[in-house]
Parts: sequence; structure tokens; C-alpha cells
Amino acid sequence: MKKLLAVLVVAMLVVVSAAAVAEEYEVTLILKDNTSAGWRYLAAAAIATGEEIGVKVTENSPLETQNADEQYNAVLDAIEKEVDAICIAPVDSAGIVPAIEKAVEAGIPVFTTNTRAFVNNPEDIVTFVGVGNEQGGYDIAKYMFGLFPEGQEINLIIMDGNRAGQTTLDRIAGIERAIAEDSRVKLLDSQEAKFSRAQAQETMESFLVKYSDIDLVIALNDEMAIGCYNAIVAAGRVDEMLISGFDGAPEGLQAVLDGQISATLNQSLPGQGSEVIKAVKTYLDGGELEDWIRVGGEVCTPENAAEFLGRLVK
Amino acid sequence: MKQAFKAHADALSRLAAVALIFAILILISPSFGTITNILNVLRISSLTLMIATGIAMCMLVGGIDLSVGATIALTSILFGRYFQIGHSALEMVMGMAGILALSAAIGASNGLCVAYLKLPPFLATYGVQQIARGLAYLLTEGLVYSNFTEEFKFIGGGYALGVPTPILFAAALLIAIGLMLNKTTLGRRIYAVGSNREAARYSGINVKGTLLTAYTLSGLTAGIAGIVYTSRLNCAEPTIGAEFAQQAIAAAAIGGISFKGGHGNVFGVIIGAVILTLITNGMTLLGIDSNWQVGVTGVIIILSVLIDRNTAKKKV
Repeated sequence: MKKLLAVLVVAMLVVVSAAAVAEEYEVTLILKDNTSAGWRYLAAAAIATGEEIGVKVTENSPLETQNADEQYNAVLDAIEKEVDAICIAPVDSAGIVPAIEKAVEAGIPVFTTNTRAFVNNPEDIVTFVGVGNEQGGYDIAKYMFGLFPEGQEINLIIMDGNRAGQTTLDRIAGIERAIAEDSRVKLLDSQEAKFSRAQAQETMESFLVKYSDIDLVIALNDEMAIGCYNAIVAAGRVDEMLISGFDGAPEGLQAVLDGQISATLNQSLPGQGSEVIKAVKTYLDGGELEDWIRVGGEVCTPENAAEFLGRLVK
Repeated sequence: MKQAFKAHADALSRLAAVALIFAILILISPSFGTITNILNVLRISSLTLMIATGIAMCMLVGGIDLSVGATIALTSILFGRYFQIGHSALEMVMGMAGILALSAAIGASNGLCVAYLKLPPFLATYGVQQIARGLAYLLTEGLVYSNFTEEFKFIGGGYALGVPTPILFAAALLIAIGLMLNKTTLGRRIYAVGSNREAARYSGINVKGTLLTAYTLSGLTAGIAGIVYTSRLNCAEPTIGAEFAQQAIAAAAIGGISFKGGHGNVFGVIIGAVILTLITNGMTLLGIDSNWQVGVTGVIIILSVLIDRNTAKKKV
């Protein structure tokens, strides 16, 4: 009888202490979709970091990529669930603001990663974790322009992303700043291909017909850069022009190593994932945070692509 | 001579429309008229053409198939996930056969719902679309599949006799289905069922079997289109094809396939597919924002259906 009582007491103590330890923060992570590879790296890093530091990360990203409506609903769901924090990479930087304001009203802190939200009150966002897209656009454009000899005109095509999102607007601003500083560059054309490989491939096919002399294609992400590459190869004009991407996703880095594209910009997607969760923990534990936690930002070229790829593929 | 002209007035007027659009575009952008661009336009339209050929069969029996885009996505992911580099040619061919059988089965499930469960085609194929799309997403598991053999890439990205391969596949498919519809009893049955289902039933035609066949063939053509498209993109994506069904239906409608069923020549689908691609291609060449292109395409569809209806009225 005494033995049984002792066992019960010990069992209760174990359960109670386990429950105390299990008291972790609950965070909803909302990315731009839950199928494309790039976001998987961010989500995986966020979840893994959460496991290490006691933050339970639940992802609720839209099925269909670039679906702003589903993201809006995901924020409302998170408010219903009374989570401890929301981390979001908004598709529509302006459209998501009402949902963010509702979350803040409900007392839930909001963190943005990868893409900013155009909030009316800057205090509504605790911190933004991401790369400087404007600087990134500038850096990669300068690097690519630098690959051409002095005095040679550079006929440029920009494969644009989605102008509802801040990332696109910032990257374009950076590229335009680089263009303004270089008189060799002549912007032939640009079209939004919504970050899609398929759409970029078809749009590039039309550009290849329209323009008989293209020197450089700057794509706003790696997927579109690869789509452009496919189109250029099919047209037999691969020696005529250079291509650059953005993101530093494994496919992009591999394309750099294979010589298909010349450069990409490291967004450090896994870095974004782990840093945003760490920021959540710091904030909820009462710590101080900067407005902007920078990650990534390096131009990935054939010289260093292998190193960046090694960091990603673990 | 006059009679022959009248009989084919429909097709001729459509050809005239294509020629007119073509002429306008050449005037505006000289690079439009090059062989490279013409082949480009034909290659891009060949995908719409393949799918439209399948959907045309469903429309001819008085139905519709909204699931083609999802079938293409599922075909794409299945091939991309299981048949990358490292498989022998025989394995890949068998794999393709298996995947095509699956796409035909998806079509058959549409047919079963419409013919035997008597569900409205719009709803039945919409439901099947959701299931197929969901499966495609599940199988993707967030990875990118793009490691294909050179032989596979040839299917969608190669040239034979100077012509891009997708055009050849589309042409072969169109000719096969066109011959079936115009020269075989199955074809006659499809037209009969579409024109007047009750009369067809009373004259001894197996209506359910005919419906089932039409939908199965639609699924099969979507599977073929999926393999060609995956090869062209050199990548398997679960998100592709969301707008394919609409484009294909538009191409079929512009090409003269009536929504009521039983009327229209499948060869007209070429005109529809080419007109749609000319508009998109033309707008890109003119520098018109891609966001406008979607709206303009919608206007063209409404116009062509109106013209089609007025032409039909005049005939009666």
C-alpha cells in the first residue's frame, strides 16, 4: 500500500513538472504558401528552432501561392486561437494591415519576416526579420553590371514579381538605383511574372521574339530566373545573355554552380525562420528587440555558391 | 462552289479573324511575323490545343470538364517525383503509361459521375478537380522536382524537322481525335448524344457508355498535355494548370464548339487556341501589362460566343 502511494506521488510529481516544462509559447507562422520549396526551408528552420527553445510553431500558410485572402483568414484564425504571437510573410503588404491591426487589438504581437507590411502605426509590428530587399536589388544589379566591359551598352530585361508585395517594390527600387548610376544600362522591358517559373518562361519566350539583342535578364527570384533560362536555352540564345536571380534557394544556388545563372542574392530563408522565432521568444520573455533584424544579403556567385548551398542542405 | 463556301462559312470566318489579328500585329510589331515567333505562338498554343481537344469532346456531349488543370498538375507531380534521372528508358515509358492510365481514370471518374450518378458536369468535374489538386499538393511535400533526362526534356523542348515537338504532339492528337469524331461510329454517337440525348437513347445508342468514353478521353488528353508541359517547364509543379480549363474552354468556344452540345468541328479548336495565344503574345510584344491581358482575354471570349450565337441564329 505504502509502495503504491509512493509510486503515485512520484508519478504526480513527474506529470506536474512535465506540464510546467511543457508550458511553451504558441506561435502561428503564416507564409506565402505551403507547397513551394523556398518557404519550406523557412518553415523547417522556424519549427526546428522553436523545438530547441520552447516555442511551439504551427504553420497555417495558404495552399495556393500568393493568396492574400487565405492569409487574411489565417490571421483571424490565429486571433481566435489566442496564440502568443503571429509571424507572417505577407503576400499583400497593404491588404494584410487590417488583419494585423485586429491582432494587435486582441493583444497578440505580430512579427513580419521576409516581406514587410505597410502598417499605419509602426508600433503594430514588433520586428521585421529579413534581408534588405532594396539593398539586395542594388547589390545584385551592380554585380551583374560589373560583369560587362566598360563602354558596352547593356540591354536589360527585368522579370518582375508581384507589385502588391513590398519585396518586389523594394527590389525594383534597388535595381533602378543601380541603373541610374550606370549609363551603359538600357532597360528594354519588364513584366510581372508573379514569381512563377512557368509564367516567367512564357513571358521570356515573347521577349526573346520581340528583342533581337538582350544582354542581361534580372529576375526577382530564382524560380523565375530558371524559367527564363529554360526559355533562352530553347531559343538557342544562351550565349547571348546573362541571368541573375534572387533568394539563394537551393535551386538557385545549384543553377549558379551549373552555370545556368550568374548570381543570386542570399535571403537566408532558413535564417529568417530561425531568427523570427528567436525574436518571438526574446520579446515574450520580456527582452528588447531592434526594429529590423537583418539576415542574409550576400551576393552568391560561382565562387561562393557551393558554400551557401552547403549551409542549406544539411 | 457557292454551296461549299456557305457550308464552311463558319470556319472561313474564323480563319479570317485569325488572319486579321495576325496582320494587325505584324503592322504594329515587325518581329511578330518572323518564323521564330510564329513557331513560338504555335508552341505556346499547342498546350491549350491539346487540352481543348479533350474538353471539346465533353462539350460535344453537352457537358464540360473543369478538372483538366488539376489532372495536369497531378500528372506533372507523379512524373516529377518518381521518374527523375536514374531510371531506365523502359521504366520511364512504363511510368508514363501508368500515369496516362491514371489520368484516363480521372476522366472516367468524371464520366461515371455524369453518366451513372447523373451529377451536373460542372459540379462533378469541379469536385474531381479539387481531389486531384489536393493529391498533387500532398505528393509535392514542398520539394522541387526538376532532375529529368535529356530524352524526357526532348518531349516538350526539342525540335523535329525544324518544328518544336509540342506542336507535333498537339497536331497528332488533334488529327487522331478529329478522325475519330468525323469518321467513326463513336464520333457519330458523341454528336448524336450531344444534339439530342433522348433521341439518341431511343435510336439504340448507349448514351451512358458514350458519355463515359468522352470524359475518359478528356482525362487522357489532359495527361498527355501534362507530360509535355512538365517536359517543357523542366519542372514538376503542383500549382500549374489553375487557369488551363478556362483557357481550353475558351479556345473550344471560340473555335465553334457549342456549349449546348452536338455542334462544332474539333479542328476549329486550333483557331481558338491560336487566337487566344496571339492575343496574349501580341499584348506582351506591344508591352501591355500582363495584368491587362487577363481582362482582354475575357472580352474576346464573350465577343466570340456572341458572334457564334448570332451565326447559329442566322442559319436557322
